[in-house]
Amino acid sequence: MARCSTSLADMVLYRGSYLMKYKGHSHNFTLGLGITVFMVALILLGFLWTPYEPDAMQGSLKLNAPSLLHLFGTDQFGRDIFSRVLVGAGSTLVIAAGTILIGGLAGVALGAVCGYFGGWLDEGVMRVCDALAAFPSVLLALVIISIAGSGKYKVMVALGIAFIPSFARIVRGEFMRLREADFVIGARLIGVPTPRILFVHILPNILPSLLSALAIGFNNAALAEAGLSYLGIGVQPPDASLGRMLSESQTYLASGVWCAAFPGVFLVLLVLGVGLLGEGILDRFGGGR
Amino acid sequence: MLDVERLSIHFEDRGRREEAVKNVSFQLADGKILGIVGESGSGKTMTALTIAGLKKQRAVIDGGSVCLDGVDLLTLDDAQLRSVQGARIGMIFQEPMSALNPTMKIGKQLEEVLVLHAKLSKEERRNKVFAAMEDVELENPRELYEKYPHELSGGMRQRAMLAAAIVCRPKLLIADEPTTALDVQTQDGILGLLKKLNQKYGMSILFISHNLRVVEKLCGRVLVMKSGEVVEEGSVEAIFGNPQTEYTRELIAAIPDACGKNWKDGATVEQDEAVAEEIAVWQGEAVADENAMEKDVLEPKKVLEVCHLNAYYREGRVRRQILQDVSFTLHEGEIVGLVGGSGSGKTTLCKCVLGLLKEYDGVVIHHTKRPQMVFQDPYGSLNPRKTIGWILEEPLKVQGGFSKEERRRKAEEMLERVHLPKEFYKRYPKELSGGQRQRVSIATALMTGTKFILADEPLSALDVTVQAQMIELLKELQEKEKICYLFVSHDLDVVHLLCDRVLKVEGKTVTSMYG
Amino acid sequence: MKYVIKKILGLIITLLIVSMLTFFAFELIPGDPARSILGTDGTLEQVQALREEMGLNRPLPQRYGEWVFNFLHGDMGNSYYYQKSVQDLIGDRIPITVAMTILSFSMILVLSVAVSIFSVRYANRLFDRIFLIVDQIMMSVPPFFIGIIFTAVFGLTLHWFTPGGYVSYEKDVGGFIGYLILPSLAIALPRAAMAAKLLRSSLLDEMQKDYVRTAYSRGNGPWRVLLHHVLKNGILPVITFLGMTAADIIANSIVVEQVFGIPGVGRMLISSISKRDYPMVEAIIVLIAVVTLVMNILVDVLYKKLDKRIEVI
Repeated sequence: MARCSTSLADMVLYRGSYLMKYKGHSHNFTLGLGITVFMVALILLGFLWTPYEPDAMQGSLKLNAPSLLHLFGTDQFGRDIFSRVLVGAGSTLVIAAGTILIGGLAGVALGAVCGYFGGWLDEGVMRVCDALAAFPSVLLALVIISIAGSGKYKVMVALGIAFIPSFARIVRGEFMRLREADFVIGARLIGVPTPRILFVHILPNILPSLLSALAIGFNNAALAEAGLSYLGIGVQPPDASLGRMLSESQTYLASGVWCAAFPGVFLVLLVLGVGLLGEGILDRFGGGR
Repeated sequence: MLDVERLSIHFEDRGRREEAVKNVSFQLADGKILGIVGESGSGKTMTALTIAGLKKQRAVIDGGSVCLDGVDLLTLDDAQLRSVQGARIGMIFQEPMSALNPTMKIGKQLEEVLVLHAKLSKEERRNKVFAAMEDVELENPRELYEKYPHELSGGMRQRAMLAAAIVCRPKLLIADEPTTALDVQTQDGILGLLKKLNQKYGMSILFISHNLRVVEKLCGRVLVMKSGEVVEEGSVEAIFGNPQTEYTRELIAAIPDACGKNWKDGATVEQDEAVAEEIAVWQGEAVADENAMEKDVLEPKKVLEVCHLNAYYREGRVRRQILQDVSFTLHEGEIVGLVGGSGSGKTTLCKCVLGLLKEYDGVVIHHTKRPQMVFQDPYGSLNPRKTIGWILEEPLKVQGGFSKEERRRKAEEMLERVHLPKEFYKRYPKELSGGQRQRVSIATALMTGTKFILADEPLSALDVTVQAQMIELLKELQEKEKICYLFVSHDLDVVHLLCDRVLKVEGKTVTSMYG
Repeated sequence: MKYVIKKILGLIITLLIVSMLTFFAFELIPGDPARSILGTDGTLEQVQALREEMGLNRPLPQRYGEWVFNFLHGDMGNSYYYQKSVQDLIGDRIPITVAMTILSFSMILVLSVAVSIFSVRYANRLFDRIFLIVDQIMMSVPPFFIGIIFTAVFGLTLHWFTPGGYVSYEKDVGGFIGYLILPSLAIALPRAAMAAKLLRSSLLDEMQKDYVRTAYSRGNGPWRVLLHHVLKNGILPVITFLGMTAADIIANSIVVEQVFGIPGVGRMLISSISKRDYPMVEAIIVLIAVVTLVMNILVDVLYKKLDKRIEVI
């Protein structure tokens, strides 16, 4: 059955009836990919070069509105917001990527085994995952942070661990769904060894769902990181962070709204792009159904 | 009463215009039963849905009219159409499980029709609902009222759907493949019911089906459709006795002919037993007979032995016995049918035979390597993400010892053996039709070098003409490769056509019948 | 009944795991709480005495057991920082956070159901198109940024409220609720967007099902089909989603409290973390766990009641 979710992009660009989306053709995917690539390219550029030093304070240029010299304006210390945004987004990117790497790898391994074999292993691991999952993942990260302290990599590991249950659950669900599939039974009858069944036969069918979950995970991680940094317990100076920029900007909201607007919008665009991409993958490659 | 004139419908599929119904015309008089037959894509369902006012927006009407008692339904606006639906036209569908709202009580579903179309008190509605349930021979209407669809059996659900369709005494009942998903006994029950309602209330029936036998049993007149057009029309006797067009002749010829058995009287499984006089619980005597017959021929090699099998089903802490002391032997080159009603245990037997179920005692011995299975649903049995070539080569990779070129060669050879073009090696399952996929499944099974294939309803999802081709293939492989099949099916015609003998699962035992 | 008992058992086990994890985790931290309280001036004897007083020298399992016992009796230990009992300190904060959570939850429910019903009814038309664009954007915005936007627009520009001007419920209940509306909305909007999208998807999938066709064949109109037939069937995945939302609301409320200057449990949690006030942190985390788990159970029960295919309790 065709997926009935519809895409933002289809609304904007495509006039036909998009109620039944047929695979191989997705505006979500194109738009999402476009935005994501653009943002990531910009951020990667920021790793190498920024118009100004992100920390360079220029007292004379405090709270300047956006101009040709300073695309996003300056903050209360005269720092160029555009440069700061680029670098801050860089932290976000690294942390979010690291989180889904850790959570994803562990989650897939765990989910595959639990989903396919079931039994007491499944029960046991799922109970622990439930315990962790009922818990707001951010809180779990908070606990880890309060023990280990904050900082870029600690946040990444904390969030990564906190995300394992959700990835494991999704992957487990998919493996459970497919373990009784006719072609899997057929593979067993042929005598294909189990690891091969798991990773060569079943996994490719799960790829779209998995990638989509990774996209969602990326977004959740990015937003969580922003929140933690906003509260002051995420990324610490001298590392820049969009969250902290937002918290600092709050006091100056009346005089310089761009101090908050640009970091926020940048984050939203990144998340939007990845979100559309995730949707688009499901549209284009199907959910394995 | 119903006058369809020059109905034409098309729809757009990815920019291409598909003509679904072309200039279709026919009439249905009061109190008569008209059957529309055709294969998938013939346009019969589209026609029926359009008459019922249920066609999707995507399908566009190019012309024609559908007149019910003089009123052209196609010209009515939404509200007017709604007043007709359910009240003057009733409809029943193919899959009773999915066609009923799973979270609404049966009684409420029937009552809803009355709420929509009649101004009655709650009391009056209830009575009418009970009366309708009695009409369709559902027992305990009061109890049934409170139940949900999943608590009913397939046959009962179909009757419930029928009850809802007739509760307002419509003039026309449209039945879209209502018996296709049912086993033979239930089928006959529903057909009998439809006949009864037709006679009692003078309700006309438009009966859509691809199953010609069923149409022959029920209908007075028949319309044959192909690719959106009416190919032939006439009374049942005329069409079946003396088909005028080639297509109709093809269709009738493709019906599995039960080798001389007289099926026209509505044979049921009971009649089967009466016909086959040699019913014997497999005890060993029959083995002696068989050996005696084939003394001059080499004794056929055994392929599968099942001895004193007791199978159980574990549900929590409860262990129910599904099969009791089942024993039989299968030999090379035999096609043995396995029949039994739903829930009889034939699925359990299959799983035990293949080693997919471990809850049994007794012995299952395979005298061949890697027993294989061909599944019912051609759409799930091949890994959607792999090419046909890859799928075919898996058994070779498991065995090991083949180079890349050798594997490819063998795979292409196998494709030829099942009469598929070599180019399919590169294709993906979704590019193949149902029949072609089943061939690939069989091919994959053969790649393991096995002599035993368990075929679980492999033909029921296929069109009649494709079925006939598959039966040819199976027979060919039986002769050439001496493959033994255990052929599970609920279609007794096919079983009798294809199988050398039949095992019937009933009441926890397996009885052997010679057809 | 058996089902509920099984679930409650699961809850207790989970709580045990969570509390154990939290409790033991904090024990791993280097540093001596007694030392931190007394500072560098404290002599060794004073530190030892304080440790004795605080019971820090007793074996770990025993301390855990005592802690659980006390907790169940409402004694959540003493804050290292404030030197007062935890339950006193957070007692009057809890209603605030709870109020916000309930407000957010209701907003999510109402907004998502209302919007997606209209979206499905008029699928492919203008409303639906606009909805999908707004929806996708809304899902991408962090609640605290929405909070900042609200502050800028409604607070500073339109002067509909004073940012940071929290009104205590003891003084003025109306004003209290009024002040909480915008923060709750900030938390609710992204989740409502997700729920709406999910619901729309689920409803659209349901609309393709056979029983809908049957319903139309009986003469039901589009609104009847949607509200009487499809909604009940399509809402199930959303219920599960809502169950998970509870955790998310609480997590986000922590941050949003900061944006609007609301003295709720969340703010206390954050400050306690930076101050290394472990009894406080432990207590709050376990409290949050209890709330989320209870919500999960409620949602599960609701789910089972709605899905008639699973045995009803």
